Formats: sequence, C-alpha cells, structure tokens
Amino acid sequence: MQENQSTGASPENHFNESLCANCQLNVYEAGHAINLCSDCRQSLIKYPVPKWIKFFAFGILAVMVVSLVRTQLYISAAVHLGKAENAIDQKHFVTAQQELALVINKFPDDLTANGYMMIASAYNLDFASYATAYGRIANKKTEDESFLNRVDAASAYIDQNFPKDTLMYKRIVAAANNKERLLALTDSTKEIALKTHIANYLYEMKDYERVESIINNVLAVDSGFYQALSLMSAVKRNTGKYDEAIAFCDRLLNINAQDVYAFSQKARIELKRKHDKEAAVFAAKAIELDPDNDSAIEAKAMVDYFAGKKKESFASLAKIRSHEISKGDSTISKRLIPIINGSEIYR
Amino acid sequence: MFIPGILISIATFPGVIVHELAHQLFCRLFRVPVFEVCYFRVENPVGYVLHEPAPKVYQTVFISVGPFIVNTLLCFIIGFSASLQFKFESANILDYVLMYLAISIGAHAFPSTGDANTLWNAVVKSKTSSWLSKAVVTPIVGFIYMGALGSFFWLDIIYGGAVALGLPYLIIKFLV
Repeated sequence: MQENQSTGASPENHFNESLCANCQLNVYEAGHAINLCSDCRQSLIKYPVPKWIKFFAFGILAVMVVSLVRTQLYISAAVHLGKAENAIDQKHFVTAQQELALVINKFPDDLTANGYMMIASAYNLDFASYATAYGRIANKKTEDESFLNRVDAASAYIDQNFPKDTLMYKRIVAAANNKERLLALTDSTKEIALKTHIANYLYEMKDYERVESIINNVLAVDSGFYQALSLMSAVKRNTGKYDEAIAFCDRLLNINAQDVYAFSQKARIELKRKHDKEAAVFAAKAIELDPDNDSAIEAKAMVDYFAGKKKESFASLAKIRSHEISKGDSTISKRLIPIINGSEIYR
Repeated sequence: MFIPGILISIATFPGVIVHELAHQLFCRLFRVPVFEVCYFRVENPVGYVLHEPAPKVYQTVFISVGPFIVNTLLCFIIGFSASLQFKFESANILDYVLMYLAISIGAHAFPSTGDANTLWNAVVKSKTSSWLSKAVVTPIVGFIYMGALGSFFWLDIIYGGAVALGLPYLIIKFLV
C-alpha cells in the first residue's frame, strides 16, 4: 500500500524527449514535472476507476442504507441511554431511571441499560425496579470493572436498608410500644439498619434526645445511611433546629440530587418556620420529579392548606389514600389528616 | 500475538482498496496525472498509485494523507450504521459484514511508510519548499512513522475498531 510518484516514463529505445512521455506522438505541455501532451494529461488526470470497484461501493452503500433504516431505533435508544448515563454522573437518579425505562422498553435484556437501572433505582430506593433489573442481568458477565464497581456500590447502598438479623428485627417490632425494651435492644445489635429502626419507634414516641443519640452513632458508622439522615432531618425539624434540618436534607441531596423525599422534607421544614414561598418551591420540585410520590403529594397538600387552598389540600389527601389502599400503609395520611383538618397545630 | 502484515492486509483487503482509491481521488481533485493504480495484490506493497509529483506542497500533503481522511470518514459512516446494534447486543449478519468492512477500512487509514517517504522527499528534502511547509510536514511524517510502528501492536486495527464502534456512541453520548 503505497503512493508513489513517478519519476518519468520507462527508458525505451528511440525515446524522444521533445515529445509526450506517455504517447510519444504529440508535443508536451511545458511547466509540469513530467512531460505530457494535453490529451494524455487530461486522460491521466481522469485515470479511470474500475467498474468492479464502483459495483463494490454500490453494494456497500445498499447494505448501509438497509442498516441505517434499522439504526433509527437504536439511535433513539442510544440517545436515551446517553441521557441516563449523564444523569447518573450528575446524581439525577430520577431522570436516569425515566430514561432507562425507555431503553429497557425496547431492549429488555440489555446489560448496560439494566446495570444502570440497578444504579438509578438503588439510589431512588425503588426496590421493585432494582430487583427486576437485577433479575434480567444476574447471569450476564462483563469485564468492565468500573461499571461493575458502580453497580456493586449501588447494590451495597440499597442492601443496607434491609436488616440482616431478622430475629432481632422481629424482637424490635415486638417491642415497638415499649420504650424500655427498645432501649435495651439498642445495645444488643451492631446493625445500623436495626438501630435506625429502633430510633424510628422512639421518634414516634417523640423521644428526640434518644433518637439523636442513636442516629449519631449510626452516622458515625456510615455517614451516608439514608434512613438515618432522613430521620435526623425530621428530628431537627420537630425540635426547631431548622437550618440543621435543611442541612440533613442537603446531605440526602448530595447522595441523590433528585431525592423526592428530601425536597418534600425541605418543604415541610420551611412551612414549619413559616417560609411558605420557599416551601411551595420545594413542594413543586418534588411533585415535578414524581407526581405520584406520596411524600411529594403530602408536601403539596400542606403547602396548599397553609395557603388557604383547603379544597386542593383534601384532593391531595384523597390521592394519597388511594395509593395507600394498594400499599397497605397509611403512615402519611395518618400524620397529614390532623394537620389539614386543623386538629393538630403544625406551626 | 504476531501475525505477518501481509496476512492482515489480505484479511482487511477492502481497506487497502479504499486506501489506494483515496490517493487516486485526491490526485484527481488536484488534477495530478495518475499513471498506474494497483488496488490490491498479494505482495509488498499490497497496493500503490503512481502519479506525477504534485506542483504544490499542500497538494502533496493531501495526496499522501488522503487515505487517513477518506478511510476514517468511511469507517465512521459504515461503522455508525452498525455499531449501535452491537451496543445493544442485537447485531445480525448484515451488521457483522458492515462492521468488518468498517474496521478493515479504518485499519488502513494510516498512510504507509512509503507515503511518508514520498512526503519527506517531496517537501522536507526539497530545496524549493518553504521552512513553513517543512515545519508542518515533518511532524506529519513523524506521525505516519509512529502509526507504522504502532501497527506492530495492532494500533491500526484498534484505530479502526475505535472509529467504527466507539466513536458513534461517544458522539451520541456527548450530543445528548
């Protein structure tokens, strides 16, 4: 494979240097490196491309057109996958999950899309989507270490929310209404998920001092433990330490920049200190991220209630209750009802 | 693993054809007469173009590095039509054919050492070339020799694979 410059025509017998070096018939044109007549120069400039090459090129073109038609579907999927990757890089896990759902809709078993779905859903604490994505690629292998490490980190993040010691978990649930037994159990386990569970029950008993003490120990072990951070933000809100409460929400947003709970919590904190405009912004942000999220709807209901829009507030409550019927958990409506019917003074 | 270059050239012959065609097309573009073209043969060099020396330095440069431009572009265009199918693990036989063509063409994008010699003799060693031309062409020749050296480590094939498979997805990722 080479591009060679000719140094002139081959030496021949009776070669006439005053004539064209190619045809030896006409007088050559002066001013060029090789002495060629006008006709030879023109024909050699247009040195023919063989027909077989043209057919070859046409064949490639035909195959390419067919393939490009098919590629449209893949371009769309690749665009959504690219958006999801960018969103994950920016910790915008809600956007990432939405984009990945579009990719997986077209390519249900794709390793990359499902791997990223595991990451996004883990940080969104969407256990169902995480489990589905995991099931689809559990038997697939990849040599991309960096990708694997990210999936593993996300898996560890979601995994920490599940208690390992199920016997102890049952003992804690059994002691839910007994403060003394709960406190005794606190020292019986080193598992941060279980300690946080105990703290949760103590929070419901409004023993905020003990909750703080337990959660501080938990955060000393894992400063990014989601449930501990969210519980601490609620404790700080209820004890009137609003800036600290907001700071805990920001720590949640540092893990997941689109954490719907963190935005909803911020709205509730701002309402508590009568910053209604700021609260409305946070509630709107939470609803924008996930209109069906009960925490977001709760925040909106509270913002509407304190803005005098009681009708809208009760409509939001109805929406939450319809969700709770299918979930079998009425925690949010139970704490919202007394606030919006005026039986509990929130602020 | 060492595989003789000639075997790689045989396996990737479409790239050799496009490489020589690129030299020829740039000659035609600059109205430089071509005396002979060998698109492919089973000996070293596996292809060549004999042409009159170009009157201008930039023409000489473009004729020499023409394959880098044409092969890279074709490698990308053909690769683009098939690469995303590989990304989503749903490539069919057509996609495999296109990817073979794309990588073969991309693998022959680097100008040969023969091209580098031509460029060196026509520009750097020429007494009529300006210092600026020599300053521009010298690193190009160095780049070509680096590429030739890199082919011992499959750089040419890696380049073809990167342009055909990696570049389309990278472009989409950075455009979104």
